[in-house]
Amino acid sequence: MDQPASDEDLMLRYRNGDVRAFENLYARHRGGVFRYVLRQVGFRSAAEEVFQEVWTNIISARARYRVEARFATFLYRVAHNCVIDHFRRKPRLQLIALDDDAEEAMQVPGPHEQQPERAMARRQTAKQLLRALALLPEEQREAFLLHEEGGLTLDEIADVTGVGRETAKSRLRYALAKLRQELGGLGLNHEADVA
Amino acid sequence: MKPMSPEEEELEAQRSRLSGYYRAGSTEEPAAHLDTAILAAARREVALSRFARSWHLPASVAAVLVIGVSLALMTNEIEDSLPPADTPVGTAEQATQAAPAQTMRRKAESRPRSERESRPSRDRSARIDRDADSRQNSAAGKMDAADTPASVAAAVPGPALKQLEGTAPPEAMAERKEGLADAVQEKRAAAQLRKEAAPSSARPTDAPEEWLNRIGELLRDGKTSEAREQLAGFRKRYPDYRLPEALRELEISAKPNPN
Repeated sequence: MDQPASDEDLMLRYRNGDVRAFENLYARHRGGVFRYVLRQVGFRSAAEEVFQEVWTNIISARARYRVEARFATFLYRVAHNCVIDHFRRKPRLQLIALDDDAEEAMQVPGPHEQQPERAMARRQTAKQLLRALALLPEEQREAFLLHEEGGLTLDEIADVTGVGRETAKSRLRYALAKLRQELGGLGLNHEADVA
Repeated sequence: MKPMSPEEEELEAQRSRLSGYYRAGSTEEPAAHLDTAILAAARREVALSRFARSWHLPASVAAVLVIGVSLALMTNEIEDSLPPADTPVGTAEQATQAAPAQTMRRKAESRPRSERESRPSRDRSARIDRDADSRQNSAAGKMDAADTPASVAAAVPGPALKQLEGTAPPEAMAERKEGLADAVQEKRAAAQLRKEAAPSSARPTDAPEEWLNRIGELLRDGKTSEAREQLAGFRKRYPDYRLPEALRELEISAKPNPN
């Protein structure tokens, strides 16, 4: 069985004119990048604008692309810069709204959520987690999102955000601690539910 | 990849516990119209670069050709507009005099290169001669005076010679002087031939009738002695021509009386 092509291979193929490779690459990362941007900017309309800008930059960088790091690192660095540019254009709001889609998505039961009570409890926990995430300091939220959505390592998070590895680790530790604290406070910190 | 420290392992364990909750609630996707726009942009970028690549070489070659030809043409025009190296640049009169020389130079340059290179000094002296000729023709009627050796020498611009002496290297100067000497020599010979062939203002190409008419006009203007001279010249060229009555009398009166 053929192993799926790596992101870097797909991007190189796209650089050489293979549009299908880009479609595969986009399908892999579209959700993660969109949620990363959405959680950072807070509103869907703004997120869509930034999301499109991210991919436009990736497409424009096609001819110059060289494999110097994982493609995900390159992609999320571009996304990070686009978010910063967005906040330069539109100052940050104090209140970060939770995206409506998130709440809608939580209404749909997953495959393991057959029992109504457990499903309800899980949705409540996820909703609380997203709220807690929205209230985190920006750097801590970004470290969590880069880890969660982009699958970036500590070194890669440090690279994307332009800080040292220890700083990135510290931000992630604080973020996780605060999120756990929020969930624990509600008495919903049961690992068994998450399986 | 670096091995994780115990602290990092603990961090990873905490994250994985939260990850399930996060993923349960974090299912937002970009809208379909965004997908369409982004994928269309990706295709457009590839199509554009293919188009650019397909035209890259022909466009480059065409650009090089256009620039090369333009430069060659411009260089020729600049060379033509510059005064020739052996023509003095100075007064307006000198510039006017240089114009025919430039024309001759263009004509000479239109000849094959090998021919030009084989006869450089001849070209130069011919050019100088023609230049002098043009000045001479403009002063019609003063031909005789201009044909004296002194005036032929003066036909070569003195300031030009001085200027050249001041700026040109010695070998160029010697070549130039040699060319001038040749020109003067040729001019003297030509003047001598003309003097022998036609007296004073009579033009060798004149028909006998025209010549006689002109002599008649001189008589009417009271220029008898000049008319006699012309008539003598006429007789020299056309000894058997039958003269009109009035001129026959003039001829008779011009002859010395044997008594």
